[in-house]
Amino acid sequence: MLNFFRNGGGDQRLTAYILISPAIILLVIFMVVPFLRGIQLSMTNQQFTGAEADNVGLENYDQILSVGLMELPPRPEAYPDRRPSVGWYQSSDGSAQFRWRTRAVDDSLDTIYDGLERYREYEVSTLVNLFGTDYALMMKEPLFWTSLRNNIIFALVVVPVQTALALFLAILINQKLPFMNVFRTTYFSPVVTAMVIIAVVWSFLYNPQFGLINEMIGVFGLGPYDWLQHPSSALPAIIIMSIWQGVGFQMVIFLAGLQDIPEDLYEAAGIDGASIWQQFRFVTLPMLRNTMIFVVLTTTILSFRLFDQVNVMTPDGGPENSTATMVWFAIRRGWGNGEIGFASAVSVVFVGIVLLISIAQRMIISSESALD
Amino acid sequence: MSTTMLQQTEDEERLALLARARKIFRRTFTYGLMSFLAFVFLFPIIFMVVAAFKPNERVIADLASFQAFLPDLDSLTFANIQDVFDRVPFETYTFNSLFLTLTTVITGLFVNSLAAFVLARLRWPGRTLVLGIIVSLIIIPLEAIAVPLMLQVNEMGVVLDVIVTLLMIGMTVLLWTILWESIDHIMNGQSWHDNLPRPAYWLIIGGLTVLLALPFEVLVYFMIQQTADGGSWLNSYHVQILPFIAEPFSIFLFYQFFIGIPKDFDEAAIVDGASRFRIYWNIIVPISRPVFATVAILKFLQFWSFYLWPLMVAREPDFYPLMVGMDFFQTQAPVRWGSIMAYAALVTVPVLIVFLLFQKWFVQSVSSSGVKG
Repeated sequence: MLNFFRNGGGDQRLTAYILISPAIILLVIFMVVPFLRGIQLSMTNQQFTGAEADNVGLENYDQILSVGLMELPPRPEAYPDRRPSVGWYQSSDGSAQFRWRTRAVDDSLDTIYDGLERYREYEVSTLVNLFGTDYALMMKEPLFWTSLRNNIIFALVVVPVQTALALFLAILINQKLPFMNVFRTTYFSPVVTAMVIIAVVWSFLYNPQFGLINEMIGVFGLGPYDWLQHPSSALPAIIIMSIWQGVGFQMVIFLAGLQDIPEDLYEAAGIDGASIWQQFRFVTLPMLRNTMIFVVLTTTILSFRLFDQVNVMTPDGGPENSTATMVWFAIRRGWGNGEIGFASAVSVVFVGIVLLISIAQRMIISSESALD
Repeated sequence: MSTTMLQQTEDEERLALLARARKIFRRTFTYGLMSFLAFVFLFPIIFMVVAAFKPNERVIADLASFQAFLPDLDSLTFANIQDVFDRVPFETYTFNSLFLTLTTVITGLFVNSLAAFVLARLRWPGRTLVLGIIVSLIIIPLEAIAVPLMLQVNEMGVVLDVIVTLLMIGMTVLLWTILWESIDHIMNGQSWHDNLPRPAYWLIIGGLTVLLALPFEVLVYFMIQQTADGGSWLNSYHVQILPFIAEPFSIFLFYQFFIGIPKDFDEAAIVDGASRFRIYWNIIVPISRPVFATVAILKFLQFWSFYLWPLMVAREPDFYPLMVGMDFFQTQAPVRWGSIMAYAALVTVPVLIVFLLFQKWFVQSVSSSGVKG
């Protein structure tokens, strides 16, 4: 039966088409079509169940991306006792706040503050005072921007820290000393644990009342912290556990890179009187350039794909949405609320950001190698 | 003169002693640092395993001291594990996870390596274009298409159902033919079957063939059922497998390996009259074991911990893998940390044991995923 594929040295086309078609058909059905369909759906108000979808053009993108800086009216001499729907009030901690509940006062808005009506669909994100004038940073979808901000913070911390730590560990276990493979195995073992499972274990370790981590850092006079329960420590907590779980992967990649560096380079440097630090700076780092690029690139993209640990450790985006991420936001709206059209638009923005980052990184890399 | 010489040797001895002391100090420091780091990486795992076998009250009570990492032999208990099995269908989750992971990985190895073989070793029009498209697809993460994909599998329609069914049938038949011939080939070298009647011999070969092609046959079964019943793919096994069989990064890894195999290998075989397909099976696959191991391990780690997609498409516990089950279990009242740790340990420890047994392969596969990338 295999003679069907017997066409000797001659025409290979038929064999080629037959053997590659399963992969191509599957990739088209489950990857290319959903990707293109996502772009199309992002311009509709498609729901998961229910009525026919309408074409809404770029409305979803407008909703996601609209940002504005609204000039606020001057603060009043005396704050009103009751909070107005729109206007200044004094919050319980004594600071001046601006309330913006436009839906409640639709018609009266124009008469209250002239010129603010175009921000009717926006929400106040933060107040800023520039040169004595109060402004409000307005967004139609503040949660998206919060998610993006969290992703960026996560990437800005995890990428350098995890890369540096991985390189450090790789150099440690690359020494020619006994028991190094034991340490290698140990540092790598978190990688083979499943993220969801280990995230649940860590959320117990982070428990403010009976968490092991507070007990342990207490020995050094630190803490106790509320970790996952506090807006300022929830994301750091997730960052720490993510690095713990992922650093072994990069360590092994760096280790392979280190072992590819010829020994005589170090010998030559040693004869020239280079110190350990100089050897690292002028031999190890340049030789690891490609490995470094790979690690930084993949870690950055992984940072923007953050979802599992966030969804498991901090349901509903964490305290004050401090652990909301873009993927979490898209899944919550698309899967949780069934807003396929809107969530597809978020996904398209997400892919755009991921693409931008990798293109930017590649451009930086190629301009650097041009300098060399 | 002799005194100065004596002085000199004394100085040298002192210097050597100093150097040795420094070396010992550095060694101690290195090992101290590395042991501390080892503790940092292991403590959650040790704590999890130890807590799994402690009564609930002890888990909390031991937290304040080093006792948290030590098993308590007096109160060693399996109550937590019992509790896991009592409150959730843990055996169903385990079966689902194993079944989904193994099926996806095994079928993926076949489909992706075939595609890579065609891309790397056959000449046909459109080759570079297809290769370029597949490589550029690597950048698209599942997270980006999960939402539209969910809508798509909910309303696949009969045409796509039939296409996928036929595709799976085709793959199964293809695998059957090569397995049948290979097993026959391997067995013909043995003498034991000379005494066997022909039908018995065929039965053995046939049985082995069907057994080894099981992942594909199972998918054919699911797809025929799906096509017959129609409707949404949600809440099924195949919705958790089929979208992930073909995967650009696996194809790329295979491609990189296959392109490095010298052409003379195939040419000798072609002169002998072997078909292209036989070259894949008899020449490329046997010498490509390292890359098969690499892809298998990377895919295994990925699908074993797969969470986002099962969460979206598995709507009943019958189809939950262990990860979704854990998500459900950790919020189910009453929250007993001992039981949750038992669940975590039951999932983690077997994988850790497999890792320890084959750690060389694990480490190799991870490092080869990066170096060339």
